[in-house]
Amino acid sequence: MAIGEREKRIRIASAVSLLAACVAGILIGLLSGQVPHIPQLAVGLLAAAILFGAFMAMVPRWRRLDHMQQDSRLRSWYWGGSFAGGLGLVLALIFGGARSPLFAGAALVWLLQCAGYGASRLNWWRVHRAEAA
Amino acid sequence: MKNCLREKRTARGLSQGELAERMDVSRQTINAVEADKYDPSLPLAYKLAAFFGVPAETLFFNPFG
Repeated sequence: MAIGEREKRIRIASAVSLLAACVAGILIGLLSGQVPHIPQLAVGLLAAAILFGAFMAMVPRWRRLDHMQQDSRLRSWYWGGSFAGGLGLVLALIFGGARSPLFAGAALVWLLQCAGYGASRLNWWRVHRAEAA
Repeated sequence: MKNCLREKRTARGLSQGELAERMDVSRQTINAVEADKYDPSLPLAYKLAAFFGVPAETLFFNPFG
């Protein structure tokens, strides 16, 4: 089956997103372990800037998806991501113990995901709220 | 939401992919809407209605009345 122009644009945007995520991951990995002379705060700020850049590179792909495609990804991330995140936390607790670095890492990721979800929800309401009539 | 999108599309001699390209959505979206597996967004419903030159309520059957 021939691929339409729209599908081509989405595939290109997907490739750009994936590439940006990989490059960001490699750069942040290099920054965190290989640059001993840079202050930790500067490393953190640089890593955050790289991460922000990677996210911005993903925006075109998201905007090219239609309503159903966005809906499927949002629902999958909400239900699948939430459940798997919770399951990971439980498994880390069972196999690592409450005071293990594994559980601490899993808990940190899960808490940050919850915080990001909350911030995103607040922003959604800020953008969509209207004065009561 | 039940609809007559498939009938309208085939009457025009269009494939799902061709209609999807013209509506700027995926072929899977057109397929899901036709099969009543997914309710289209309001803009897409109006865009489809405008494309076929019919009111939206002719293309999509109101389930509430």
